[in-house]
Amino acid sequence: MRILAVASQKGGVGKTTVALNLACSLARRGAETLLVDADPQGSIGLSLVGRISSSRGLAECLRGEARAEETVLKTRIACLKILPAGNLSEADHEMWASALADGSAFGRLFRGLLNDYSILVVDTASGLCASTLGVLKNANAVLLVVQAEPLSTRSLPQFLDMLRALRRNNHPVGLVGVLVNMVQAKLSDSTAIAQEILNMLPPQLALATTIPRDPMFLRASAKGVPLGLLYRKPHPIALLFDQVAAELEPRMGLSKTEEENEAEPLLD
Amino acid sequence: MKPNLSWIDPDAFSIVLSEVSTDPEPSPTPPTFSTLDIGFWPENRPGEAARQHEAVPAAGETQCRPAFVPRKGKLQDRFENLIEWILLQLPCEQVFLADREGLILAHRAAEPELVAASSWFLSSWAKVHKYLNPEGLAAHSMQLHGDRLLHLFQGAAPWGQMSLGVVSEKPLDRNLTKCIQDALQNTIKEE
Repeated sequence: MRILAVASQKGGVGKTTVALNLACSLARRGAETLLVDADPQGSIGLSLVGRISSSRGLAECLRGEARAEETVLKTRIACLKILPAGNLSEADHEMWASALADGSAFGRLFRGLLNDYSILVVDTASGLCASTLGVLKNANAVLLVVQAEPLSTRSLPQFLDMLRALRRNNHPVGLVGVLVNMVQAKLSDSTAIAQEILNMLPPQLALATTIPRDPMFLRASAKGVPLGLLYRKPHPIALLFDQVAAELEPRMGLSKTEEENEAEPLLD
Repeated sequence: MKPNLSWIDPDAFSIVLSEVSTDPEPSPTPPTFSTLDIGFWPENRPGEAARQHEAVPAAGETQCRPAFVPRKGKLQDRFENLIEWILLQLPCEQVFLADREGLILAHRAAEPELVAASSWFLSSWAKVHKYLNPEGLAAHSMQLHGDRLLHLFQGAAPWGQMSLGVVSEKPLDRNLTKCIQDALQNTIKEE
């Protein structure tokens, strides 16, 4: 199993949207996927309609009040399940932070899920907060989301420094890609910063797919659904996450073997 | 720091990136953004090395045995094949293959600092080389601490410049240098 943390140094860069839609795409492409909401604000729950916002989840699992398999929610996508953030009162936030920072609580939880999923996609809280550190100490891989605007990119080195420190302390987490999000094609500063970031990245870390800023995200958010389920026939923007998933699969060791992935004839 | 929108120093950034990326699986497809073409050593563009005759060692020079047999298939397998072959040619303390940013693509016991420094050296040396000796071999040896030597090779892959570093106490003669250079070029050429 691979544990992919979707992270960013700065808030508001679209991390939760990326985690949600990427998890949907990975699942649609056949990977048994568990989307874990490790943001204490429960951002995944806030993005989706349904019973998720009041459901038990990660908080209860980490407090020892529930087992993960009892709190995991099935979705309309066969291979996708969600572990919600659970119920966390304001008073619990400090406990949450101190309990998660060393990573052992996440480690126990993730080990318990080892056999059931091909990949865990973990939506993290922004920045270098305790819960994010706890996740990163147990993740194999990080997808870094960067908004195509200068302020977001300027904090990129800080995040990488933190990642380097984790690796130097023998945590195996590594960067698998940097996804440039919210590109505004009509704004030269936005496209320029996107190109600048891509030019600085080696091919192994750059993603050829970038995500535009598009009203469809607002519409999906208003409806409380992932982009892929906004319409019966998915909007073209939703297909971009299929491309991101396809780019990440080989980097995550999720590619099918050549035999499994053989061409199929169109005609008998 | 160069004036840019992100205020990121690309050189420092590439060093950090080389330390935080997972085991790389380089894409054989060139990236969509532009790559820097240093443009030196024209005789060793992809495909050229394959057309060169096998080197004949002069008296006293090292024979390359076994001869290098390039492997087909995934880049990572091809890189590993090259490293395994180099380890048969001379006693090595470190061997590494890196891209133009100094990102390690395959290695045996490589020190990240040495790889990053090699990348800087080669990118600077490319300009000097182009001016002084555009027809010569793009291989360099330098003495590290003690008797250790760092042998550096540069190759042009379809996706950009690549460097190969070998740390050994053994100096390379002309024939072994040529064999390793050819092996590198055969490894990274387009299939």
